[in-house]
Amino acid sequence: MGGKVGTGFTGKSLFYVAQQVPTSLAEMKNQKRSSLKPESRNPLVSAVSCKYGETMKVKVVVMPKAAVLDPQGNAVRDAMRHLGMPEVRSVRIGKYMEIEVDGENGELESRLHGLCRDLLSNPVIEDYELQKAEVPSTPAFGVADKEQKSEVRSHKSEDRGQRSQVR
Amino acid sequence: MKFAVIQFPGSNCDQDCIAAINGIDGLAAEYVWHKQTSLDDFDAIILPGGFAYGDYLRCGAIARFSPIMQAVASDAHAGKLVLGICNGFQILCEAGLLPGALVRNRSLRFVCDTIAARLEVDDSPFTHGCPKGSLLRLPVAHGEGCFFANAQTLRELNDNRQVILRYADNRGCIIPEANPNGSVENIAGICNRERNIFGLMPHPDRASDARLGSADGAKIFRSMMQTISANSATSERAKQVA
Repeated sequence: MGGKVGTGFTGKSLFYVAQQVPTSLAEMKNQKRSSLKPESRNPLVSAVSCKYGETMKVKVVVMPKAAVLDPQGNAVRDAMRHLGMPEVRSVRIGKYMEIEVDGENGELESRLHGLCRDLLSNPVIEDYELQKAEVPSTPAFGVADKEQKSEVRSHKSEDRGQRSQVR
Repeated sequence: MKFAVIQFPGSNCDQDCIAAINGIDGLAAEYVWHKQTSLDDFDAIILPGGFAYGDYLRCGAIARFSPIMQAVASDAHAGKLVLGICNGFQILCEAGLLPGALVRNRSLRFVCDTIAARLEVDDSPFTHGCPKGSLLRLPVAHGEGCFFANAQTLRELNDNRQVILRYADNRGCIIPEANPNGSVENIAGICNRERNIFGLMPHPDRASDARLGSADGAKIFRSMMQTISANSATSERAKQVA
């Protein structure tokens, strides 16, 4: 995830970022992938879909604004401290949504941004971040980078039996 | 005089509202299903409590897009009285008809209690006959009733005297201990700038008969009736003059 959630970015600037991304099929075909240097890509949209297919996968993260009290996050923070990790400074809890959309173009994406503002988040209390995801969806909680992906897998392989017992 | 009680899928205080309103002489209430698109036949609109659309996503987030909400918004802008109770308050905030938002109670618990709410103004269309400073004893029942507004909105609410009710103790003092959900500045109910839309977390519908422990809620419905008849008398007179 972009890691900038909840730090006061606006939907407007995100929209601007989204406009920089090659979004139409023709545009993407014209643009050689090698020409997209990793450092030139915005981290928010580094996971630009590489599939020239019909579906777009989108991840939306909604987080409470910094000014909004998050008692749930505070309760989890206290539990983490209590379970032997006093280093935990803060926990904030938001929502994560995976959305599949038929078709793929900039117009769809700007409509998605509209719905993020109107329905998926409440701008009075929340910020949202919209990420275009890579198409293969395993693991379910897929992350942009390959290294991170393998890390996610290893987390998944730890099943319930290995969780430490409640003291 | 006819009041509309909007029924969303998941509303559960609609019957309480109907019973409370029908119990007042001169008032009648009717259910209006959320798929309907007109409220022309009604003098006032009630958005009842409950869990519209199961509170999925956020309380009121989906209900605000129900077809009837367009009629609610246009009638509200035309000056019709709109009362949002509990979940109805959340829907009005989500719809942008009232400022601010309602978030999870600070205690993380669902509160079910009878509270005292202090009147902060004495001229609202919803609280005729209740002088400033008087207390209403009303039940609350909600998990997400913590009112939040940013500093600027809060200033505007106070400057325009839009805060109508605050949680108070039995002596009328606004103290943190009297705040059941962590609402900013103990706010329990607010109105819009034009003062014809009122949202509150406590339930006047569940306190409209002394046998239920309090009849203070009926004062709000009676006040709405007085406002509407006063308004129609004024417009009649204006017509005659014209």
